[in-house]
Amino acid sequence: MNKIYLLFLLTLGIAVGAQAQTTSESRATNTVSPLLNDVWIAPKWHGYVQLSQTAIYAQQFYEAEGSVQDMTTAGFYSTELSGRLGLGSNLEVSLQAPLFVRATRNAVRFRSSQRVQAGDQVNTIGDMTVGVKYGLINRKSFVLSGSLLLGVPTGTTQGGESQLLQTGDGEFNQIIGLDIGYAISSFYVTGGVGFNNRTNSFSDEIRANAGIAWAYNRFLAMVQANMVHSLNNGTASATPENIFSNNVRYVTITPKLAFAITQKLTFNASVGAIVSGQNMLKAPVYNTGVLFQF
Amino acid sequence: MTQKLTLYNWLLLFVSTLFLPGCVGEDVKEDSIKSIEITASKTALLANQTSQVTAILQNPFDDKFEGEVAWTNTNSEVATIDASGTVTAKGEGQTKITAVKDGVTSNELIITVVNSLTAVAMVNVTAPANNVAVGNTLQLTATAQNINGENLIVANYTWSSNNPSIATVDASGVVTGVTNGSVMITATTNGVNSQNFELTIGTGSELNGEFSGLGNYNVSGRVTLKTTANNALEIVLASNFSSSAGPGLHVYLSNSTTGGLEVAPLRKTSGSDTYQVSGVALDQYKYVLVYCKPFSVTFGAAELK
Repeated sequence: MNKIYLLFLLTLGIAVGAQAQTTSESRATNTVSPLLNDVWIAPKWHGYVQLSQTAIYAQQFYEAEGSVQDMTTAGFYSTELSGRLGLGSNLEVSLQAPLFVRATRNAVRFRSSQRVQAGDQVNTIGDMTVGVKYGLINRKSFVLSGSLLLGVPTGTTQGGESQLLQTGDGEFNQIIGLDIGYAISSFYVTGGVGFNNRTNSFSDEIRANAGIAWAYNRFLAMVQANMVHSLNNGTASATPENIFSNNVRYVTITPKLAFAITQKLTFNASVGAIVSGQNMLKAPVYNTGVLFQF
Repeated sequence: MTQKLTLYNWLLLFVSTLFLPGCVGEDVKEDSIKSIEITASKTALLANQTSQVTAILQNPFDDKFEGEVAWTNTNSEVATIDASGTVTAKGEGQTKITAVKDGVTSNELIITVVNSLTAVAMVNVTAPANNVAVGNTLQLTATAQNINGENLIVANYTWSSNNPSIATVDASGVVTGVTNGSVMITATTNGVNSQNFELTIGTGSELNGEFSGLGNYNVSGRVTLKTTANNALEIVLASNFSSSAGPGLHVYLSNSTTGGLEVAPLRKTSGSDTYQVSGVALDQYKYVLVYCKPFSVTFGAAELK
């Protein structure tokens, strides 16, 4: 079943890519283009640096069967520095560095007895991701690229007084991906598939995303769908009361707005809604960022 | 200048999001209920008299508090009970009151309604001990009283055991222990039953174990599986019980270290707690498990001996 699913996604990606190659529209140049799913390859010595903040505030999680369970409120906050740099020859490198990650679990006060169980927190760096991307086709109106992302387990897997809070999953993973982007006038369509090979007994994953965007003057509006589908082939235990569980499946829909403050500086904000899940928090993901292009 | 102000505004908006983490907050939850004990201001009433029944609830941390419960009453022709626990006597006879909340049932309280001041209104059972070794005997004593608490002389008492396979009681109130366990003894005279008198026979009917963690999980502490007076089973986690936290943790009874009979969600990961089990024999299962149900992972197991 999982193989069929993978084939379906690959077929979808190739079909969209083939259609996109038939157009000769030029990619519009605007100051918010780096937000477009990071699909287009940056020119040599060009790219962007972004400082972003992500917050999740969860009171429910999806169980393994997909049903929703209440939980003590968990918070996850990350301040991340990320960037991309074009090296020329259709090659680009990237870095995602969560420099400050804070995981919290609320205290619990029982209404009748007034007993209070203490909360917990941990503040560390998170798991880093470094990547390289190569543009197989890198036209202005269409791009097809392959990428390799390496997830380095620099976060904490047993944090706080309870030793139960996490800012990372503790495994070194490798994601190979194929991304496409298609631009026509001020509209953009993006998509991608990937395979995440995870270590330390974590299950491998298939990932996919698709998005549409519209640029108007200094604004860009975008909606992106993301899917992570675990193959459930790893024996590591699942911890769905945070975002670093094993055997995770979810689909999110994320509207995003960006505003070009200047030619090089962009502010963006998004709210991601999870529409289905397995072993994952059921909560919106809030994100803001300031992006500097160079 | 305008552009600079706009830039500052956007940067200010972003910087303000950095304060989102804030402090660790506080959730408010309802207490889990481990046990309920009910008492009455009076257990013997004349018609139209009232008595206040109070339910004291206990959570798994052994905190005691009052709270709303649902009342059950076996004979509303004898007395009624309203939502606040006020019992109103109606007609001669006896009725049994219990309180229920979240699936936990309290002890049973017998309310007696009489028509005269001289009638037997209360039968009290006393004993020099509340346990008997297997094969040994214990003399119980019954005393009848009127509604004012004055002792009455009655011809005889009828004694009964709710489980003669554990202990028998003869016509003179002598209890003989048969096997390990717990029983309820009652004395009856003039149609009036005493409150249940609980006796433990031998060491009681129980098995004990010590938890050990499995895999990378830490579970420790003592657990006791014992038969209660009403022949149900209780799993009692001792105060030294502790378990790694995890999703969907449950208490299971099993004959291996995985799967088995689901008893209840694990209400807390440390300290004492009691779980009721019905329809299970004491020696039916060999292990008590702390089991992560969603992922079929056993956090810890205690072999019962």
